[in-house]
Amino acid sequence: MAKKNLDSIPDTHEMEMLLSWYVTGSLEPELREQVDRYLAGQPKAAAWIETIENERQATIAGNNALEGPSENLLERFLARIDADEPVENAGIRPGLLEWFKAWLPTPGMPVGRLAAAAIAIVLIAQTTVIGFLVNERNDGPVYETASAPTSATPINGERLLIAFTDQATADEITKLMGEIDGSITSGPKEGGFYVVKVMGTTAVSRNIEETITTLSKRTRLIKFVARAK
Amino acid sequence: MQQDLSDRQLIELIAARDRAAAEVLFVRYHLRLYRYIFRLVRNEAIAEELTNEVFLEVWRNAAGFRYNSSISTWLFAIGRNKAISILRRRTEVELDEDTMSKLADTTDSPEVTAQKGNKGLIMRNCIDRLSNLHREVIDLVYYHEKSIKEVSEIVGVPPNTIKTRMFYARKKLSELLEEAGIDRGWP
Repeated sequence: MAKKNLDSIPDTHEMEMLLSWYVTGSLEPELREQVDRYLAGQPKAAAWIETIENERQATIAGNNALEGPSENLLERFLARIDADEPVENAGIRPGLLEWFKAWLPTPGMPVGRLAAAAIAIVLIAQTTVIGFLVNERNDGPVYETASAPTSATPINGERLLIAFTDQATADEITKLMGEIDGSITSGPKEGGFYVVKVMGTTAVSRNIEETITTLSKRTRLIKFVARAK
Repeated sequence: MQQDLSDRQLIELIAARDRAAAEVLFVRYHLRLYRYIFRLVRNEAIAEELTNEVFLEVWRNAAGFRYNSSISTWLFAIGRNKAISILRRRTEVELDEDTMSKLADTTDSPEVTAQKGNKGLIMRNCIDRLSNLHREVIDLVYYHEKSIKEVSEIVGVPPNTIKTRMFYARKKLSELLEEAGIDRGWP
């Protein structure tokens, strides 16, 4: 796009270009005085100010009409700064059991974490992961479903329940969604769970079991993944 | 924690790992920051995550803040960088001004809104139909009440470019309003 500068705008006095800031009261005093002097000689000054005031009101109304973020956003932020300490055991990839144990209530656990753990258990019960068998292997956990232990289930808009780690950034999550051709359809729910719809069009997401297995190994980003009903 | 502490006092406390100060700063700015980011990325979940990441970055880097700009300007600049990073990944193309200028909203056309007969609603709809680049500067000036210098610092372009961008945003807005049957004649 060609760069435009002030000189390329014909028939517009630079003072007029400052009027938006003049109306919001965010001009420096010296500039404000210059605009005052300019407007004093302009018969259309009142109409200009009214036009900008209408724009301002509509912009404010448009922003105020937006819903706010989730009520638990502050709680999630505080949880992240609480977790934002050097991790002594960084680099050790836990197996599923160890990983899940980390979610279970322990003495002294903050109330919010207790609630999240309880919710995790409830959510697990609500998913087909209740029928999962867990095989711990040296190279990480492998899951099989009780209902379909061997055959692969093609993905076509399957939904997963995912909880991301505190270290996972939005950038990384977005990249991951691209890898599995997934999109977050709702969340975060209580406990930080998201529902992710996977379309199964990428090599990573050829079938639901492989996708869950693949995701479960991404322990730096994901602390829980299961098929949602 | 006193709610009336200045932003600078809060940052100094946060630099000393004061959790309560971080909470006060969050409560003070999270809604406006969330709305700013949401208007860029158009996804609630991503906007929430980015909002939290901005405050997490403040938590980690407060000690290095040099007070060359206001705290809120710092927050918005961080948020914008994160949002653009996400948009880049989403589109898999370099998000330059050309790209961003094409990311217009897909709300009702001005004609459809005009039929609804509400002038304020028409104006809002036309603002929503501006490109991200134009709507962003409108939002920063009118809703977030940022000065030319502050918008320049957030967006990362010279002040004259901000003035020009605002002019063209308002000009485009006039064109959209005209399509909706409202001819205001200026700018």
